[in-house]
Amino acid sequence: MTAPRWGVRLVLLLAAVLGTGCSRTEPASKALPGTGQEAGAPVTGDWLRIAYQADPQSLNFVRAQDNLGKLLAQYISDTLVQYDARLQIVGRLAESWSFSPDHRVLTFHMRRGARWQDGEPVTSADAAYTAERIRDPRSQALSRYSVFEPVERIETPDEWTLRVTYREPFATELDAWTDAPLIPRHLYEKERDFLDNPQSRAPIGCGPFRFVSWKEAQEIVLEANETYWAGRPYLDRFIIKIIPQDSTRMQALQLGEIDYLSMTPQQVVAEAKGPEFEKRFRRLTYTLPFLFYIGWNMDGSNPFFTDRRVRQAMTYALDRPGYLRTVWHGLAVPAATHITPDSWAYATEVKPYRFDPDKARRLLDEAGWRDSDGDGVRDKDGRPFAFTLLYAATGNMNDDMAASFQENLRQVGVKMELAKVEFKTFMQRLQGHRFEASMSSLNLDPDPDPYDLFHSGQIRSGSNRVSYSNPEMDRLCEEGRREFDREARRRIYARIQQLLSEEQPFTFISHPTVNVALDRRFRGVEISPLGLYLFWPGMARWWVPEAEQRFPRSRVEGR
Amino acid sequence: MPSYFARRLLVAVPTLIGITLLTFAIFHLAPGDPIGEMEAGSRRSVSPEVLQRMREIYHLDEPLWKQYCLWLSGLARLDLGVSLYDGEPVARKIAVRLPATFILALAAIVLAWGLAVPIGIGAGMRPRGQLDRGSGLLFYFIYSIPTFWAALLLQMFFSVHLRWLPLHGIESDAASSWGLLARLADRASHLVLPAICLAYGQLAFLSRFVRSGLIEVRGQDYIRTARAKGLPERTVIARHALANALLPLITLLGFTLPVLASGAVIVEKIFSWPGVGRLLFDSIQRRDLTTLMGLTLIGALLTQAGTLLADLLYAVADPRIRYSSKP
Repeated sequence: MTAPRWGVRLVLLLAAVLGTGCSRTEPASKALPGTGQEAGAPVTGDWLRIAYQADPQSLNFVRAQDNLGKLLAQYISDTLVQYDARLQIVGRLAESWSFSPDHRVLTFHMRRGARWQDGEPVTSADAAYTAERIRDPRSQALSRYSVFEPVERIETPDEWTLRVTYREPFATELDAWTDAPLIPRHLYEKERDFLDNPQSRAPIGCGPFRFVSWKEAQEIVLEANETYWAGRPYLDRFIIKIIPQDSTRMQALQLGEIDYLSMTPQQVVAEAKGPEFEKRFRRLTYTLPFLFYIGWNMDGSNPFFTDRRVRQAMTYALDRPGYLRTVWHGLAVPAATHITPDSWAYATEVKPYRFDPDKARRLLDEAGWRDSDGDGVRDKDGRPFAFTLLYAATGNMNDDMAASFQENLRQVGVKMELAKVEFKTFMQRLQGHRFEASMSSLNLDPDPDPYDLFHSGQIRSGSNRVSYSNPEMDRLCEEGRREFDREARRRIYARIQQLLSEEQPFTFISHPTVNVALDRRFRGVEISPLGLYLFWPGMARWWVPEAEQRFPRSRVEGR
Repeated sequence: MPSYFARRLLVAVPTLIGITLLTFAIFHLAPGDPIGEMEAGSRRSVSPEVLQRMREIYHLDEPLWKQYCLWLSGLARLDLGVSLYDGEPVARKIAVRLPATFILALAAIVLAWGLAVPIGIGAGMRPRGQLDRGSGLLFYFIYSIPTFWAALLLQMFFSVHLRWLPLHGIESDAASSWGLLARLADRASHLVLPAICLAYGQLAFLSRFVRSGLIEVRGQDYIRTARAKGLPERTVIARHALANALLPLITLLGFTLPVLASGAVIVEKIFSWPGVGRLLFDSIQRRDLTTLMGLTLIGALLTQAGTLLADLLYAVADPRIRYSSKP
């Protein structure tokens, strides 16, 4: 996929960690020891019950942007193509696809025999309709709209062929279609309002599960689609319970009311242990494609951060490892750049900066910031090195981080004031480049492209809030978007990572890890950089041996 | 008396306008741009054209007075607008949450009043007696326990440890296959813990309120008169003292009306109760301006309605008010 979720989004740590669909630390797509791929053929039966903190945004799959909405879309509906556990794009409704030699035309050949859950066939007209709706600003498809912006036109030469023409070649053309779950044209066209209509609440899809019910703020129930083109999923039911409180979710897990939980760091340390817990639950860990960072404003409005040595010194001075150890209980991966260690593009030679206050002092000396008046604060040309760190009031985690960094910087003779502001104000000041340094977080995409963040063309109206401008970076970002060969792209992004590491437009702090407890009875569980669900076939291939089923068919039948 | 009612209702009109104006102002004069923030939650930079289109859809590009008029004209048609977050009508979003909140609030009120009023009466009959001192101490003790903590303890003890009561939610998973009675019992058992959490904090002031009212009335001349007539103490208290001592409770009852519909954020969140309080919580997190305005407005309107109702009930119950309102 393309650029990370650059809309700099401050999220409570919990909000980030509790979203279910995510990624991992272990090498991609490894069958879990003791669960998947062992002796015994998969059988049908049993339910999977998971918990989310809030309802999905919508079951209109064009509009829904949230994690749960996307998860449900993946299973109730179907996409043309999808990432597999190794982050390779594979066909779902598309049997095959091809690019024109100039990479401007992408042609999908759809599989015949796929049906909407009301019996109508799924055709290229549905795919074209879905894309049209995404491209209509009235659908408010926000990020999807942006991804489809490079599309020039979409044609359907026949019922099973979809031809997409792009204005210019774009490396992540195919990626856009992994986030475009199909909606049934024949049903939506009957409705007066695209957003406020029955499909948004009780959708007819064409995916492995069919929608059964949505009790708002309580639960969403899906059941196996017996007529799915790839064969029905093994599990009979997939239930998402809406449980907003962390502690209640944990207790629900222990009471056996849910089978899966993304735990908070505190829960991992304090509650997810002991023989009883170990016996019932398997613990899985993976890295969230999410970044905590401090951005240094380089637009020249302050005398500090335009100097690369100063930015490097800042990173050396901040005790990020210590912070991760104490406050995060080690449940986070130190970040070297925006690319997580799970990514195919991750450059192993680019390491996170170590904590080295002496080096920071030397770099600051070199840059001419010395404490000439002996007041404990460095200065240059009569100006003391004192600046303000802006961050948003979303949870205590930020306070802890800001306070500990403030102390780190004091040690090297830099005075950092803290300005905690309300989220709206924070976003406004970020968008208006009205800050010296800002602490924030971002959702990342599987694709390593950092165009939105660091290309100089994104300073004025994009997400390059720190006004980073470097011709080499611009060139690399552009090349990366035009290159289709993965090896060639890997080289481009390796250079980008080196550059980011040297230049430190951000102090990259960490990628949080997701810590999951999953009932041991589930087999066939695969873990991917996208988590346990948001890839293909994901949960559609989970199963439970008959002897261990908690909701076997015989008992549930007749309900 | 009708003229008194009419005057009260008339006075309510400017208040009503004030409420809409304030609600609108609070949300629209706050810093930030609700559409600009949508970008903050989306995966990539969102093109300025889409954001502009969205501003147009929600009329956020119009001057403020015009937006206010649009909102008012919607309100006149009982239309609270559509949610910025999911495009659904706000009125529908709130309506589906009302029953759960109403039932929970009602249970809590019945529980709180059912306990506090008799205990307050008992305490008021014998000030500084055992019941007075005991209940005073106990109620102030539990009054000082924060709700979220009490809720956790109750869950841990009754749901996880003893497994007597459900942990959260409004009914059991399998409830749809049960008979009516079993379902009712199941629903009631889900009510117990959240209702206790909402009720216990009210015990202290409710019981003290009743107690002090009773003590005050007991010193009145007409009580002495009643006693002097030779009426038995029971009759004196029940017929003469209580009727007057409980009058101020009407005001308190008026204040419970908004509580019935505005929900309890913390308790509903901890117990996964699908009520209005959680909608408020979620909407704040989602920066869903239109839904928040709808919720604020409804809360304010019900507060006004509650006050009005209390005033009218007062007039019915207490002749002095009716008469004094006559010129």
